[in-house]
Amino acid sequence: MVKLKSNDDKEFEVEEAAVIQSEMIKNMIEDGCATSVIPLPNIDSKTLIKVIEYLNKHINMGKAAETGEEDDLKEFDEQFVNMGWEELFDVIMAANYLNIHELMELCCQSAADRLKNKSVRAVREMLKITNDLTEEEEQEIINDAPWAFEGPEIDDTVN
Amino acid sequence: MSKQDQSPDSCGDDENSKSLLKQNAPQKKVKIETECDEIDCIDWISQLPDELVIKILSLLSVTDAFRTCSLSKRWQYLCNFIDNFIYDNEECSCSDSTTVHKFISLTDNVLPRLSCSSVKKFRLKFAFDHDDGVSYNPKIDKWLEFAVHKISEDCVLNWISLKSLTLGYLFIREEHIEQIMSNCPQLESLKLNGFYGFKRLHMTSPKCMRLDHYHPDGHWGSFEYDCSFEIIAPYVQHLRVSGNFEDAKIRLGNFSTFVHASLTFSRYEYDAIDENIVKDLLVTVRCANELMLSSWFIKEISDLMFEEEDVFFEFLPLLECRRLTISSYITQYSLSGLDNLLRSTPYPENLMIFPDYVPGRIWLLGMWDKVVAALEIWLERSI
Repeated sequence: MVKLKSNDDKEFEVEEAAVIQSEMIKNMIEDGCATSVIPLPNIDSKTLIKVIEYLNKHINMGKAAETGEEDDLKEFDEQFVNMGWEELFDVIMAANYLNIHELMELCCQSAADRLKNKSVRAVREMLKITNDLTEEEEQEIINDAPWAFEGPEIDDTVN
Repeated sequence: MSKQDQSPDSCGDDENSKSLLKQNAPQKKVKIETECDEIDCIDWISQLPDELVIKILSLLSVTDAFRTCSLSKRWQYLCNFIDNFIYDNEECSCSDSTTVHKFISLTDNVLPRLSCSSVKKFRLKFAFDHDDGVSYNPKIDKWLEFAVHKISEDCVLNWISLKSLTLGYLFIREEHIEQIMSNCPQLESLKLNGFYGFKRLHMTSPKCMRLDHYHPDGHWGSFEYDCSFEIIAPYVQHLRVSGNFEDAKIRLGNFSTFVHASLTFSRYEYDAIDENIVKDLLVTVRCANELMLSSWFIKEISDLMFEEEDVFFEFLPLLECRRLTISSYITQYSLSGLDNLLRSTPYPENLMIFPDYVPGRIWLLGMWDKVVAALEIWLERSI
């Protein structure tokens, strides 16, 4: 078992087989730096719980393919990314820090899927982005690439 | 600041995680004061470093990615760094003029802006109508040039060590195929699976020993009006040319090291038979140890004999192969071609004749005794 500590001082025990899906921790274990608790100063406990849930489910990727549990795993992944933007970005940051390739791909793809075909207004609202461009600057951008702002597929709804 | 930018209810109600975000985020938070001074809102995506935002943008289509330029000042240039290029208009109808202009504008405006150092994924799926009256080729060329430039610039090492290359269903210009050939000095095996745009293939690297060239049936890969295709590959030992070359004239130049040659392509003959094509092809493969020929050869040889009854034997080169495979339908008519081919093959140790079924032709079945008779004569002669 490997002990991980979140930045709000909560400790979590994770099986080594699960935690080595993180390249960063795998390297630490290989270098003998994981004898006691591994502090994760960039990850809060709420996010770490999510990440550990993912790692435990994906513990034996190879096995899943053999036993026909692929669909099960796919369903888990779909459910897993069903979270708010804030939480999603926290998990992306954590996956990036811990270097968990598959989790990173899953979450970035989910973010991209949510942004697909969305109008500028909708994206701003979803991500709480403040428009600090002047009207002229904005118009200039649109004039540069008008094709990106036109089309029947553009979706102005927020969800 | 517009109303939709402010949404007080969306601020994290989890005080703990919010304060942590503030402490640990690598970038400065953008705080937005709401008009009613309720709670500070966090621009969530601003906590993500640029490289992660670019990673997400790279998963979007080019159009979606470029729309984010107008989100805010920070976003204005992020999409210039995307490293995947996905454009797919297959869902749109071909004749839709806005789609056409969109694509042209996309090409002219986006390409000069892209500043990523290497392309990870490149997919341009563009359905268009020949009747649109617009020439897409220069635009598509621009994209290909971009892709080739970015890939070859950054993967020089990969290309230098590249041993096997398969190209399928592509439009490749003469200069691009030349570039590919000269960029791959270690290339040992090249497989072309349908292409058009070039008429000469020069494989001059001594390492390149295997060439597999398949030309699919149908409209794809038309040779247009100048119907010739030339392969020059002096070091190739294994050559396979198959598929349907329509009326293109295939010329093989300068092969001297053949071990295995399989010419199982088909062609249509619209014009008068050109004696030299068959002859030249057979001359090039005359030294091959293993030889496989298609119906087309048998038919051509038969046609030539039918035209000039005296032409017998002389016009075919002496074939040195030890293993001869003929994949051809045999009719009364083509029997003479087969007979002639066998006469010019004095040394085979292994001979195989496969009936290649062509609808509307008489099959080998009824001809078998005649084939055997021809073989017997030929056997007597070679002994």
